[in-house]
Amino acid sequence: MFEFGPIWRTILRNKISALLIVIQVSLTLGVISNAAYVINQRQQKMNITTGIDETHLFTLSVKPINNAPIKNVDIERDLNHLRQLANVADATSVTSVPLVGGGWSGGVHVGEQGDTDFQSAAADMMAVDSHGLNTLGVNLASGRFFNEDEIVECIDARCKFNVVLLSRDLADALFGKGSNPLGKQLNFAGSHPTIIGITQPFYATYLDHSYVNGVLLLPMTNVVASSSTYLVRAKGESRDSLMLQVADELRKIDSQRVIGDSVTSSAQKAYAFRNSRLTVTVMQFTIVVVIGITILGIVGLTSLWVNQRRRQLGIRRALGATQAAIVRYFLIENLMLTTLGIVIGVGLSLFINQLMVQHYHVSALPMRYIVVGMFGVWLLGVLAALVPVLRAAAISPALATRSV
Amino acid sequence: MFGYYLQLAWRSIKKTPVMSALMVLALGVGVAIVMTMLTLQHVESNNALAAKNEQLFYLQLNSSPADELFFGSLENGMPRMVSYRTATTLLKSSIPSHSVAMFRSMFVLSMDDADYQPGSIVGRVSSRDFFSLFDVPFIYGKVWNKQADESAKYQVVIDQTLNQQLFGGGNSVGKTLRLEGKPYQVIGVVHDFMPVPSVQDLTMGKTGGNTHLYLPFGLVRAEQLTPYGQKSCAASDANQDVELGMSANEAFEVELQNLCIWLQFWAELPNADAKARYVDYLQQYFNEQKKLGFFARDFDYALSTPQQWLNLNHVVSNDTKVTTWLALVFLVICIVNTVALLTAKLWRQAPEAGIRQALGASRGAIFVQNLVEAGFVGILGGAFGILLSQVMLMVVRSILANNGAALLGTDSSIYSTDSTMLAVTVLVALISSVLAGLYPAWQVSRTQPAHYLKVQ
Repeated sequence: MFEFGPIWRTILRNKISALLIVIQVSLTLGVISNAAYVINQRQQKMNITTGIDETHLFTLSVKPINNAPIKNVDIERDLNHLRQLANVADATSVTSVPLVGGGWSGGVHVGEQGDTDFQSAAADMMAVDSHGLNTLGVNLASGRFFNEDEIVECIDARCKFNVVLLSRDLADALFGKGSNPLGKQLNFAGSHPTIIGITQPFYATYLDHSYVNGVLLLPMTNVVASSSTYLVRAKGESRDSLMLQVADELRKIDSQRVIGDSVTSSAQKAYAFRNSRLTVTVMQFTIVVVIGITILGIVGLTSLWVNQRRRQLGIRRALGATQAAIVRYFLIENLMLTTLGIVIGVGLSLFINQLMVQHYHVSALPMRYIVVGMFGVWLLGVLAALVPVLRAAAISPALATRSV
Repeated sequence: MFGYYLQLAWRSIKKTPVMSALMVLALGVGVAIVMTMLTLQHVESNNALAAKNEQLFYLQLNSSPADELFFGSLENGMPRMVSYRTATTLLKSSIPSHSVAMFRSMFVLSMDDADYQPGSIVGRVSSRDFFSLFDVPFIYGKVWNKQADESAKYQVVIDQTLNQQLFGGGNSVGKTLRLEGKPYQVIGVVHDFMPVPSVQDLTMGKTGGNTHLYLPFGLVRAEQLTPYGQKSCAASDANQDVELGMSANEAFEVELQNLCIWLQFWAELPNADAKARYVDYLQQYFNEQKKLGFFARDFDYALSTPQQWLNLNHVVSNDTKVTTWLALVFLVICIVNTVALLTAKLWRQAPEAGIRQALGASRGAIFVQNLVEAGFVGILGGAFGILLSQVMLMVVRSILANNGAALLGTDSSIYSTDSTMLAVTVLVALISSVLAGLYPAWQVSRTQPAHYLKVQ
């Protein structure tokens, strides 16, 4: 029924062409499975939920021309004015630009060094005023947010804080998972502020929590006295027009300062992930093209093979072989080669992945990528072969045996 | 004979336009993807200080506090920068022929000309050796003198671009610009120093270290200059606490004497002997400071050449490397594919080859004829690949630009093909095509003329 023996002997007579198919199939599997995995990893990285209302947020900074120190009253005047604007949902001053990928970070502790219950964690620190939480669009998990009279004014010197809020993930790192640290004290930069609230987990300045455990929110308006940064949350779809309006309004309030460019938080996020996006695009393009090229190669090689054996094929048909038998013969031949290629390809995929793990900190390729890739390439091989094979089977025996 | 073969090749390509087009396409796409990735890697791995690679060293000291590592410490376990206190001490050493302590700072730039719209500018605050260490030549004027590194001198050096922008070019020495409202005198104009990557300062990304404005180091204290960029402090640093009620000056003095790191430090050490003496000097300084309680860990240091410093900072991202390797595998697939298609095509021409052989052509001649045809396809594929790679680089640039490359001043136009890369592209295309053509040509030259003559 299945002519494995004769087919295998035919393949052996035409080693190089067979080898080309096997090489092509195995390399294709190697590239596709690894590229698909890299794409998936990058996409997961890019799809993180930041926890802040990034699509409605933008920042801009103001800096007096004559290096005059900015006072709290100036900031409050600016922000109060902005909050009156029709399209502003809320606004706050911030010490660092959200999602910028790096900013003010440091160690925070519970207890004193040397104590048995001493705990440390790395915090992504962001100082905001009493409108901070609402502007960021972050929800409270428990406790309360800063009141207006708790906001500290800092000029030059380091500040002492009385109250702070932690994000849930920072609280977990310091006090244990699911703990309730409300009312407890933090040991941080020489002061011992009380924890008054826990927020839902979110990303403040760092988009990668491998450096920091979570966010520490501080009640403070300005830390660098010579410039200040405002974070504005727009209503509805008004963000882009509001960005121009806010800069104009700030210029109107005081013309003796430089108003920096407004940058949206979405743009900050896109910027942080631009290399990942590039990698994904290149890999996706490569996968599509590699599939096209492989189909092309298999069609080409199978055509060659079929054509080389046109006369034999005609003789078989003349001797009574059905079209189905001819199709079956070539498909089995193709299946044998594709399968061999896939077996080698699995090894190759793992080998390529192993190299990437060793040199480029890529994680191990999950088996399901190889399995899906195997079936995909297998189907690809068979479908590609079907075109020339069906054409060959349609040849009438008389035509095939006649000389060219 | 070669011309004749070319003619034959062209005729043969015209005979099977679809198949030939597919081969050109396959090879072209392979070449294009590899070249795009190699160009990215080539641009990112440029070392602008290659000429002085053996003499320049970036300094890292093991200055992290005992129980934590400074944020952004590198793989060698050491922080990226040094503190002001360390930098000012090390600047005094005469062992290096030049040494540079520096950081970026942000200023508001205005002119006495009322029409000039004030704007922000990033300047590099540096010790005077910057220009001699990095070989940045002066066009007009000269560098500030030694005192300006220690006490405030309101002088600046600007580069050609800024000179053009502010003063319309020409010798601007003696002219004035205003930073934070204060007048500064231009004392020198230098050539633009804008290497990509900005190897002199890699703390702010691939090009973030480049500036058009340079200021003397002595201004730090007088103007209370702070870095526009990375600054890391240690929570456990006893020196950092500013007492409430301190004056601004007292508080800034604390900032200058604490463990916080925010300066880059380069030393030029002309030979191995100088390097050895410098390491001894560093060790002595470190242990002295450890005794004083300033450093907590054991002495360790790194003096990295520009190339080592680029590698340590992973300027060429792992993503780029992974993609480049996959692109190379992809090119192999394309070559294998072209071999397959060429074999199929040339095999169809085997009868002609048989007749030529029967009429007296040697096997070698048949081989060469077919190789010319394969090479022809290869050259077309290569040419197509070069065109396509330019299109792909355009796409790359637009992806980077659309995702806010302008945000931090990174210019995506740096990702373009230079003459080296063009030469490499042509070479890759040629080698690929010859590789692709060898086997099919050889296969055809082995055909038995008798076989075809019989059928004929």
